[in-house]
Amino acid sequence: MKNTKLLLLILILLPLLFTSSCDGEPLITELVENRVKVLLKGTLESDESAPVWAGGGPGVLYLDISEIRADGDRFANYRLVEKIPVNETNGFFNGKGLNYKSDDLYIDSTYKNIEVYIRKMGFNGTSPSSTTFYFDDEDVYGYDFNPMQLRVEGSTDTDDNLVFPLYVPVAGGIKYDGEGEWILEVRIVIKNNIRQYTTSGGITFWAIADNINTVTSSPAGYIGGNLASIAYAYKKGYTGTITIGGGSYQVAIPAEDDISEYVNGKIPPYISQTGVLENIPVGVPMKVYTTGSDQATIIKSGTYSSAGADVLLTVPGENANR
Amino acid sequence: MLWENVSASGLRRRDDFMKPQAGIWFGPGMPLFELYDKVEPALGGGAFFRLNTPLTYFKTGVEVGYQKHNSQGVNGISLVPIYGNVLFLLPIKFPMNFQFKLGAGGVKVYIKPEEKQQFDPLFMAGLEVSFMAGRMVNFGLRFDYMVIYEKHLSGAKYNGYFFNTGLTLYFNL
Repeated sequence: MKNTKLLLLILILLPLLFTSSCDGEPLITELVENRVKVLLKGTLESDESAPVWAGGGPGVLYLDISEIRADGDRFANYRLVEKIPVNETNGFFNGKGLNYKSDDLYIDSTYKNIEVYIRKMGFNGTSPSSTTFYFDDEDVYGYDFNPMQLRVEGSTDTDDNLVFPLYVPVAGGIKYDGEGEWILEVRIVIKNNIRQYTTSGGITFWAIADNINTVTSSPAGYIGGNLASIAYAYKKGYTGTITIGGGSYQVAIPAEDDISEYVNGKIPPYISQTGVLENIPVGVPMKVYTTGSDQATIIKSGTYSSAGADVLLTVPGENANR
Repeated sequence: MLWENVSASGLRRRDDFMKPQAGIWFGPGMPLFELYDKVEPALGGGAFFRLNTPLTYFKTGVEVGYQKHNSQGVNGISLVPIYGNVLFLLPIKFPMNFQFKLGAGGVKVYIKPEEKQQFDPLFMAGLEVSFMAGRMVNFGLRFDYMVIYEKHLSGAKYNGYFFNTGLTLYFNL
């Protein structure tokens, strides 16, 4: 019978479908689990050497980020709404980093910029103290200064929103290979970098100091809005350290970059106060510097002095002395 | 007479349904468990061909399908299941046909953003409910539970599970 032959054919073909797939990669697991972990930091320092918060300021930072992208790829399309205490208890301000939920990047793509879509950012400690804004489905005491972060350096155009998205350059770029575990640190200098402003309506509030423009109290409500930010990516277990003597801060940048991109606080480099720079990727030549300045000077007008020849780490865990 | 409909029209209906069948279906597919958090439900579809067996209420068939699930972010998964199955027609007196099915085969899996693809083993179980619309055509609904078996691979922690529902058109050949 014709039908019986067809039936036999089907029964023979079935096991063949099976045997064709005995080895391979666990793709479902790859899709479910993440290799790229995003850490947010609010410190100048790239490690845990940040000094404690200077007293007298606000008590809490309200941070609402709608998503983070990498050169437009929506790899971290998750919202983060966090009330971050202005002390050392949260990873955002103690140097350990605050986890941001993410997916993975495209393999073998090189990413140059991270875009952080900040929806709201505000401190409490306003005057009058009854000032509130809507945050995380409730009214909270404080002032959301995000709507005022509208101007770029040297511009009076108030249409350019600086924080939606905030463009964060990636030092050295992300050259994601899809192997192992990757850390992407996104750093925005907020800690010990805030000051008070007053609106035309007479509300005094805390906000981040502009790192490029000199902002006076006039015009009322103008806060500049430029943020010093940088991102670094490295593969866990494929990093080493650089030990540098001297200076109040020790600094490293990828050798392909020019240090002039980093001075005057435009973007913060790898920077530490401990003398040991951590999480330096293996195989990436680095230039090393020191500075005797304090944080406020670095952010505003910092310059760096060379600390010797370029460093190229070749083995994971290696330390280079300079 | 619960088990057999011996009226002439009933016999004819059942006889027509007992012919070799080809068909198509489309409908929403839903990723389950861990994948539910990673990709979104999406429309899928497929085609099938079925033959009778010497056992009256059993059929055997082959199926091919396609479904592509994206997300708000970078994640995505595409599936091309190719499998064989055995169907059991519930022998009850009722205007609708109920068929249970079990199947196995393979599935071509493609994932984003890793941009990797491979052929994995596939198991499925399902139910189809259908009724006649003329001698040639049956309409129906199908419910399929699919398991993409990957746990045998080193480093694997999860299998892929999908639940598909679909509108089905059967042609009694």
